[in-house]
This record gives sequence, structure tokens and C-alpha cells, in this order.
Amino acid sequence: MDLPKQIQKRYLNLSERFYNFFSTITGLTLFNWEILKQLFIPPYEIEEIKKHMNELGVKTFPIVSVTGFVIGLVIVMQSEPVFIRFGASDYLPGATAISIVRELAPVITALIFAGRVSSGIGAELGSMRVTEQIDAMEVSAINPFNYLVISRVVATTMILPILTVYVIFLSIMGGFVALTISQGMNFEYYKNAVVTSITFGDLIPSIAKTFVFGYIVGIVGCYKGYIADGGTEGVGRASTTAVVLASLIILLFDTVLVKISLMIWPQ
Amino acid sequence: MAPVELIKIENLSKSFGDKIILDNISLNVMQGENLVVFGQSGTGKSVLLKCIIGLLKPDNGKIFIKETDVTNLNQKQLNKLRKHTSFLFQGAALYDSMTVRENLEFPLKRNMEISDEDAYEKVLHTLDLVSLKEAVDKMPSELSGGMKKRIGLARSIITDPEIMFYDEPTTGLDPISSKEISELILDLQNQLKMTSIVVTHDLNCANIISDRIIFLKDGKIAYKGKIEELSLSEDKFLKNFFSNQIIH
Repeated sequence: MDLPKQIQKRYLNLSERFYNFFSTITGLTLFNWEILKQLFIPPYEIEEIKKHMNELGVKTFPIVSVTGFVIGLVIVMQSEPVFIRFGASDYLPGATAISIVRELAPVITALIFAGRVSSGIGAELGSMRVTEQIDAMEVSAINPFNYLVISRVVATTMILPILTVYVIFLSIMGGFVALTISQGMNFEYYKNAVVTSITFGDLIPSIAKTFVFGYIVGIVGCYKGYIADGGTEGVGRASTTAVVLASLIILLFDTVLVKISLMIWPQ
Repeated sequence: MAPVELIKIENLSKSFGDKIILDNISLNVMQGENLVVFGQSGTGKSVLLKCIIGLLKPDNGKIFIKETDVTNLNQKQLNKLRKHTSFLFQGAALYDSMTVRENLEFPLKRNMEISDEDAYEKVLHTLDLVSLKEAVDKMPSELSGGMKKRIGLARSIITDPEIMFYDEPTTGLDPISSKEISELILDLQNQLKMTSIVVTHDLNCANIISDRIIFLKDGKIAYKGKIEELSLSEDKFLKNFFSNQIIH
């Protein structure tokens, strides 16, 4: 291929990517607006919400349990030599707990949740879209947006904070196990060190942001699935892009929310 | 009593990008009539149905169902109108995550005040009409293509619609199942006194069901009339079309 054609092709690829990027942002914004508009309009799909909280949330417990415990364990194993070198090993339980509560547990839980749930929702709704199941609901005078999207978004928003609290607890316990193995640490001492070092200023913003992350996981998965086209290939694309997009948006919002929480609860 | 005009389409146009799919189509369907829409792939048959039911918004034109202009309705009004209509999709579009019973109960319980017992009774009665009572607790994944079509048909008629839209009801079926489905549709039409528009490629199906047929070609209604008249036509396109298909 000659040089002008290569440049032209690259330019076209680039412009296509820009177009896709901005159309996704616009689409997500409009989708979000639709959710906010329909959120309080009956019928309230309570049974569906409960079902999705179970399907999407409870079934994520095994993976986050392992991850949560290992995070605490590994953080202590990695940090311990550094704290000992600086003669600050007494601060290790508190410092570990603060890093877990403030950042590691909420973000890692959200990313795992996005990996499992966003892709699942994207694939499920995508498959319903390409097999005309969503159209079938619509022509039966049933609001598919309320039934399929809002129930899932509410479920993910409500379940992620619960998962995060659970991961915080397990990570802290993982840290304790690591310190018990290396230093034979007493549980009472560890507990006091953790409890005295964590404040509401650490806990509240950290849990609050998981509501936002849960909402992001739900909305991105639903959006990608709801607009899927192109048969099975489209379903696969919806599933993959949902994970990537949800993870990116979670990290982006994390940065913004950390800044906001530091303004509200200065350290 | 003079026949009532149930569906009226005036100057309907629909394009996707530069491609004109429907070009200024006008059509009417009388109460109790079975209209079959023919045409080659990509001539806009399904698009026509989806415009009528409000799944697609036309670029121009008006569509009246029972004297209500579908193109001007908001979602709430459209849903109210859709309680009188039903749609059988090409792939039946059964809800994967629900059993056959739940599939049938879903539109029923959502659109009507009905007790669980009455709903179940109606489900069994409707399944009986399509001869699939034994499939009530099965999942869609356990059903064959023909059974899915029958269940899809049962789900479509369970709300007692006045107007039915069929999108390729016999596509993908073997000739025997195809004939059975066509005869079943005709039976149900006669029993339930519905008006219907059937989109199909299947001449045998049209031969069984249709009161009148139209041909879509290049976005326009190229031919219309009774199947017996059109099959005897000397027109080159019609001759070619009918000679390539066997009417049983």
C-alpha cells in the first residue's frame, strides 16, 4: 500500500474511533437520563430486583471472598519489610486497614464486579436484543426498559456496597493472618490498632463511592447489551466492551470521587 | 354490514441511510381479512410490519389502526393500542430465561387483572389450541423449531388480540411443519376472528392463509390481488416467482 493510502486509512481509523468514542459517551448519557426519568415510574420490579441481586451479587461472593482475603494477606506481606526497615512496624495494621478501606477494597471489588457482572448483563441483554426478545416485550405492551434495565441497575447499585463491606472485612482478616504467621500477632492488639486508625472519614466516602461504581457497572452492561446488533458477534462485542468501558469509567470516577471526598473530609 | 377498515396506511416511507426501503406505500386491511405480504429478501416486508406496530418510526406517512394514528402516539398510548394487537416474530422470540408457562403468563399477567389460577387455566387452554399442552413446564431450549413457533403463536394469541402480525411464520421449518403451522394459523384466525398481516416467502403458507396478497418490490407495492389471480398473471416477474415455487 502506498504512503498516502496508508495515511488515509490511518486517518479514517482514527476518525472512526473518535466517532465511536463520542457516540458511546452520548449514548451512555442519554441512557442514563432515561434511567433517571423512568426510575420512579411504576411498576416497580421488586421481584426482579431481588432476583438480580441474588444472580448478580450473591453469586459474586466466592470470587470476591478469595480476592479480598488475598489482598489483605499480600499487602501485609509486601509492606512488612518496608515498615520494619523504617522502624514503624507498629503502624502496619492501621496503615494496611486504611489503604484497604479507602481504596483497595472498593476499587478492586468494583473491578471484579464489573468483570463478572457487566459482561454478563451485556451478553444477556445483547442476546435478548438480537433474538428480538426485547422487541417481543415491547409489542406486548410491556416496558422492556423498566423490566430489564432499571431492575438490573438498581440491583447492581445496591449489591456492590454490601460486597465491598464484606471484602473490607476479609482483607483485614487476611492482614491479620499474615501478621500472625510472621509476628505471632495477638488478635486483640490487631483489632484495636485497626479500629483506632479507621475513622468515619475513611469509611463513609469509601462505601458511598461503591454505590456509584455499582450504578456504573449496571448502566454500562445494560447499555451495551440493549443496543447490541449484528447477531452473535454483536453479543460478544457487547459483553467485552461492557467490561472494558465499565472498568475505565470506574477508574475515572474513582479519581474524581477521591478528590471530592478529600475536599469534604480533609486528612 | 359494510366491512370495517381496521388498518390504513397512507404514503408510508422509510429509509435506512441512503437506502430507501419503503417508498410511499398506501394500503388498507379490512376487519377479519388475512393479508399476505410477499417480496424478495430485503424488500422491506418486516420493516413494514415493524412500522405498523410502532417498533420503527417511519420517515413519512401515516398509519392508522382502528382510526388511531400510530405515528403520533406517545409510549403510553402506543402500549394501550398494543393491548389489541400481537406479533409473532420470525424466531418466535421466546424468553430464554422463562419456562413455556411463564412465557405465556408474562403478557397476560402484565396486561390484565387475572388471578394465578385463571392465568394458568388460560395458559393450558391456549397451549391446547396449538397442541402443546405437555410442553407447559419446558424451557425454550428444550423445544424444536416447530414447537417454538407454536409456543410463540400461543403467546401471541393468549391476550385475545384483534389484530395479528406474523413475521415469516414458517421460515426455517420443514414442509410438513410449515403446512401444519399455516393451517393452525388459519384455524385460529377462524376461531378467534382476528385480522392479520402475514409477511412470508412461503407460497404454500400464503395459499392456505391469504384472502389477499401484495408484492413489495423496490420499496413499492408492485402487485396486489388474490393469489389465484396473480398466479395466472402473464407478468414476467410474477410468472417467474410462481414458477419457482410449488403450491401444494
